[in-house]
Amino acid sequence: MDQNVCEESIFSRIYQKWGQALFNFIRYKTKDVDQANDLVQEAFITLWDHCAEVSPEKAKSYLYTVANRKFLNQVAHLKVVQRHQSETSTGIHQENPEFLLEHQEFENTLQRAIDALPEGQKTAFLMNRIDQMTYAEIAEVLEISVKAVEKRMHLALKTLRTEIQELKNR
Amino acid sequence: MNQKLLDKFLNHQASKEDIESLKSDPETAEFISLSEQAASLKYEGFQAQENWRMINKHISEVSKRNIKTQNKSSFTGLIKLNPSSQVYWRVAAILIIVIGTYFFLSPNHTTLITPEGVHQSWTLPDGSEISLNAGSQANYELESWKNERVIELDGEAFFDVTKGSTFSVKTNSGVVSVLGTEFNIKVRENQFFVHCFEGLVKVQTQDTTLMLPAGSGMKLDDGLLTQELVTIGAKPDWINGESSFHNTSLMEVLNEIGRQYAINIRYSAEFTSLVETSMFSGSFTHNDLNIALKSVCQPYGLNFERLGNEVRIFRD
Repeated sequence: MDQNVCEESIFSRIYQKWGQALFNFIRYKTKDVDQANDLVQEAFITLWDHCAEVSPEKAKSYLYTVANRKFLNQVAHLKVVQRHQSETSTGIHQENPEFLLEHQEFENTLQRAIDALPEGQKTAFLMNRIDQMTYAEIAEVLEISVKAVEKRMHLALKTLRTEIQELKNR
Repeated sequence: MNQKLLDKFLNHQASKEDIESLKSDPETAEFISLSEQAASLKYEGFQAQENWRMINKHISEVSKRNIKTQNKSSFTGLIKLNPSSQVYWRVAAILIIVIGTYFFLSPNHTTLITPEGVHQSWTLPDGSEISLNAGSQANYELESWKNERVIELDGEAFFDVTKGSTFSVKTNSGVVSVLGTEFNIKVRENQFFVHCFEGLVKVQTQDTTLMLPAGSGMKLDDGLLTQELVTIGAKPDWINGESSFHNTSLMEVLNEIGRQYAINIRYSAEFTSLVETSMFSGSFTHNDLNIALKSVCQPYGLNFERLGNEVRIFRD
């Protein structure tokens, strides 16, 4: 391996390319912006500390794995977040249907419908949509098969459609 | 519903025609619209610069720690080079260089570092000695050292070079080769100084090559080359616990105080032009910060205040 991420120019390029996407990845799981920023820092610091063992091509999936593991370790925090998320998703049913189709409201509705998706579907779906990642890239960083990503995408779309349809009809 | 085509779209690979075709089917059209709406959702709050600052802080802390351990191993892991029948005679050289901050480590790559406020000496694989002034760094490759004695320097250093093949010091401003001599190099942002105390030094900059015999020196200031004189057989003042300047901007002198004492020097914006344009000739000691600050500040009617690691410069 003649190149590794110990070289600062390579390391900073990785940050420029993946810092925001990694932040988003955590944000899909939590509303806590500070926690997401902290985890980005921690993931990159861990990458630096192991820079000699990681090739530039593997750096991305390394970052996601570290960030995800650290996130899961913060279990107590996660529980609070999930409680918070389930509270906001029950809020959908209190919406006044008249406003739902207005543009801003539709975005809010979509956001809430997405928040209500199961964790795995939501993350894969948003990585694909917002971070423009391909199925293969998502599969790599989530350490699942491309088929599994496909399935999550289909399920996410179907659930979202049903959820939004339901809101329109109410 | 064309699932394959929908996946192609989701995989960011669909052509315009593909999308048209997907939109003609009401079911996939709805998925496309949903997907496009979702792409514009915002997950705000990424602190790009603050995060990067924290990451860099960690990197520089780790660098310093790594260097300390590496230095120890370079003491014990010395390799004698060219132990030929050739008579060794020693050549002392002083190299003073400033380059940008940059850091790199690998098993074959040795980096020597002195943090601000610290001087330290090491023996190089050929028996030559290097003393680093405060806030300096030198790099060399262990493997290629046998064929070529090349060292990169950032900061300020004194070299005591063992006679052998050409000994080169690479800097951002030029390459200095020892041809059997005692010399002094100093690079500061836009400046480059080389002073030869004994023997002969070859200096190669971007546009010129110079031979400096004992007693002579050169100064390259923003591309302007001037000749300077030194005392043959002398040593630079920093080796003896002083920093000396001739017609140097006050800002550079203050920077040097900061480097020698590992402190931050601050002054309010109103003094920026004074500090940048005033020229200083003289010296300051490395042994007493108060005396050093006084000797530099007083001539300009400036006063100073120490707060831990910080020095604030002001006018009464």
